[in-house]
Amino acid sequence: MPKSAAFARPHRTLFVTAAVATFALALTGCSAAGADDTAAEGRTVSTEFGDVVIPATIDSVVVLEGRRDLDIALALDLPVVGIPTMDNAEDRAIEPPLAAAIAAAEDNGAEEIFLEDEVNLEAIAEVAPSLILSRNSDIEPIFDELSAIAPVLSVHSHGDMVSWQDDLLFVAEATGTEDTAADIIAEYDARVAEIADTYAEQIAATPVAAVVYNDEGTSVQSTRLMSAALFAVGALPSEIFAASSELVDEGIESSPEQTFDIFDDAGALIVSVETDEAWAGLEDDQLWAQLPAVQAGNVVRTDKMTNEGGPITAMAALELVEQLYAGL
Amino acid sequence: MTPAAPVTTATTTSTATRRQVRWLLATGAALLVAVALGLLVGSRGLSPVDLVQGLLGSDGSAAVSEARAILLDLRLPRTIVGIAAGAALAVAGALMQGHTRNPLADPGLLGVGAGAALAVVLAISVLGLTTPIGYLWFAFGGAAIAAAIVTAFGLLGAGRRDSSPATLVLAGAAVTAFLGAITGIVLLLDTATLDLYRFWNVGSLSSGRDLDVLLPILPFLVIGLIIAFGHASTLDALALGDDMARAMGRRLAPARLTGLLAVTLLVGGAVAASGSIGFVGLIVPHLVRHITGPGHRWLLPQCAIVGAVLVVLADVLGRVIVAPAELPVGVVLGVVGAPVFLVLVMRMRGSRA
Repeated sequence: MPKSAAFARPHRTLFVTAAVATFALALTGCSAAGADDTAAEGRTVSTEFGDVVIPATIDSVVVLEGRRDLDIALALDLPVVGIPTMDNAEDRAIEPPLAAAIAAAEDNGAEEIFLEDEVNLEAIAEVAPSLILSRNSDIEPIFDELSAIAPVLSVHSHGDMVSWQDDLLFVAEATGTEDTAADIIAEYDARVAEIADTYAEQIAATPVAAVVYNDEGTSVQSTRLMSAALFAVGALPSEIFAASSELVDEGIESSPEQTFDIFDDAGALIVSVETDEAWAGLEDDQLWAQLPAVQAGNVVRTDKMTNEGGPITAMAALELVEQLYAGL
Repeated sequence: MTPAAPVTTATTTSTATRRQVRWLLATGAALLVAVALGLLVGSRGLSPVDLVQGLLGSDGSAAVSEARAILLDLRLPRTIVGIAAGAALAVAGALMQGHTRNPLADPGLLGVGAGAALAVVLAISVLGLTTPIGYLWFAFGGAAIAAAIVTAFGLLGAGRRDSSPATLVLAGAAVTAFLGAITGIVLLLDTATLDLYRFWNVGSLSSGRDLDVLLPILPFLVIGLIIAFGHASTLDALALGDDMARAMGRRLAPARLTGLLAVTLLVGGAVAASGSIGFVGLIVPHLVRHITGPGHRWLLPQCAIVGAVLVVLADVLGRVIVAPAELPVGVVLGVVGAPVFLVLVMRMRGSRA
């Protein structure tokens, strides 16, 4: 997530909250009554915002962020009806891991009901979902308003040090989809084991790193989903990648001048670049071109869509990990 | 006794000129120091030997190849872009302050930055451009169109109301707000554009803003500087007030258009090359007036040099204070510039009291 968006979100959210506060409060009476009606037949879940009563039957789900929250909802086959406006898959250089699942959800009636990072309470109320699901930092400032519309469940982001597996199990327990979640995690673990076994020699012999590149330089962060996938298969981290695991909450950002110095011990790299033009610029970068991993052709490209997510994105990340080691 | 007066005047003028030349040499030396720091200092520490060898040519070793790439592909281009952008913005600031007779005027008052920003956002969102060189002509064109609109409204308003440059400033503020609102709408609807735009908007000399970006707009910067330097005597006349300037034979409308053309060329070029760098155009003329006095003949060239020094040094500072990461030069100048701006305001307030 862009830093500017991170800084701006609370202000925009406060504005939205203030603008619709009256509307949301007006809804409180009838919506709360609805929640009471279902309380008897729902399940009570303890969340970081307090106990939440989830209806036994979930007819519709709205997600607010569209990353880990949406990934988990789609993986659990929850009936997603409302999502934020997402970047068009066809506008991205690399097809997002969730593209197919989102398209399927849209075929089943899911609609984009507000702009990304611009939660619209009125639009959510209009949909009248049985459940709202999102990242905790999005929920916190407007939890009361959201709760007036529907029960709210929160998941985390990679910087919170909570794995997608934990969030998946939490949502599954709340929605009665524990078996599906167990199958998903078992499938992921099996894929991890398969890659670790098939490429054991390359994994043990080749220092690697997962890198994000842009005009301002590079960054490495061990908690990103792509990084977690590498660590999951037992990757031998390069020096900077190993160091990033000790700075889990912030990662390591480096200027363009540092590119050769910090990645010259890596034998293979997974690099996240957003556009084809930026990729061309990276290939023209003389420091990048001097890296042993680049000269050996041991580079796999991805983009920010594999930085964060849930089980669907994690499986896509594993595909990239396999691609990396298969090329060695 | 009668001949004594011209001799004294000539002596005084000669002394003043020598003083100005000495200052010019001093700031020129400061620029050389800034350039040296721009080449030698960075977030990646390199040995002087590797730097020299890298400058002379690669011997095939990894260390020298790395030093050569850092020196020639990163530090040298960003130092040159910093010089060009700093000089252009500072001279444009002096022009704006001279034309508006407002000591707190800034090149941004002409709507140039807002016009460039909107054009860049539309280029990213509609045309899918993603690199600084792709934005180049959109930034420059957007700046020029915004300046033309502000100038047209400013002159139209001046014709109907009065000839005060305040009309131009008000027109600039209105157009800037309008363009900023449209930019905000586009960014709200398209967060992918926001991701790219923020890198352009922050004002940076790092990778992507290199000589490939600077060279196409360099002629415009040079022309802008030539117009500005040739405009010095007109600005001196305008400083006495419009009526006095008219009495001295100056035609106000052509003079203003010439000045605004120079500002547009300078700021449009600078913004296209380096993004939005604030405070240089506001602060540097004030700093330089302490050296040169209010006359624009010396003020404008000194602004060019001091503006270049300020931007290059700010860029060097940004490379080291959060190493191994970097702070963009626009951020460094904002952090430094805001307190300086406040000091300026307080000093003006104190002088009025």
